[in-house]
Amino acid sequence: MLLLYCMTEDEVPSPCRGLAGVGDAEVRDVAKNGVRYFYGGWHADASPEGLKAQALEFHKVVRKIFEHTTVIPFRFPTSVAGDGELAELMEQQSGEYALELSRLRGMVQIKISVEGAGHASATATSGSEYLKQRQAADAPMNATLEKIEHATHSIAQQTKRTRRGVTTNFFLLVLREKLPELKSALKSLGELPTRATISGPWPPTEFVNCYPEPVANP
Amino acid sequence: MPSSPQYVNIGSDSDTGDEISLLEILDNVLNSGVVIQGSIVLSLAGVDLVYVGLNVVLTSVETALRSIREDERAQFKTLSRK
Repeated sequence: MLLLYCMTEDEVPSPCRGLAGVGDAEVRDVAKNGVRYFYGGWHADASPEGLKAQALEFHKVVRKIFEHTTVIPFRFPTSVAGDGELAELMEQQSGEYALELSRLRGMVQIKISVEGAGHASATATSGSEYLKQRQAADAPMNATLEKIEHATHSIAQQTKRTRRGVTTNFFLLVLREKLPELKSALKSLGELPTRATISGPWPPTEFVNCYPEPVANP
Repeated sequence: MPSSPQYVNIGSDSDTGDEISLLEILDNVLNSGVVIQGSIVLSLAGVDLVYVGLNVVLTSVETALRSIREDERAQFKTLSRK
């Protein structure tokens, strides 16, 4: 079984080649239609602790390549049965990903997680009251988001918000060379109405436009 | 409660990621990235990750790792304030 790590544009710096991957399996690479695929042999670990260790090893490989070039990672543990399936995948999808890698060249993603106060009270007696309570509960989080957005809008190429439970994730697509400027802008924010955690730089996965449609679990 | 933003590894590209919390890493590798077509079934920790069909579905990895994440969350004190 082959574990797929990430894709890059065809030309990559030499430090990206010959890395040790998950389980010390050599990370190999192959190019098709302008996209280079990084992959390696893999045996799934059946224990949660083993899986966690493999996920971290996977991360280190992608991170190492990402230090040198723009990458689109595969979601761990995306795998194919062998070279034939990999060749089929490359034939089908390289064109789209080549365009995306070109568009995202030199860009990284910053993630800012802003915590909300929680859900509206269950004591609401009507739908409109519930919505008002929810709006009030979200107000501090939205104020934090607006403050961050205002401070970063001239630096980010693109932004995106996604909500997960009471937390809103605010993603920024930024040129790598603009990271010091972004860091400075974020440091100037001072106190925020709610807790915000900033992490990155990450590969720009939230801004890739050609993901296949997911299907529901069986 | 008012709070200063907390930073995790921002702007230190040369860092290999050791300062990024395990929770952030697991969240990233399991919840973002490309999924592909596939035709195999993996059973990991008693959970089917991938099923026979046209598309590979990997979100159930989250289920397999929920216990790990809860442990990580309990220990989530590694954010480095800069």
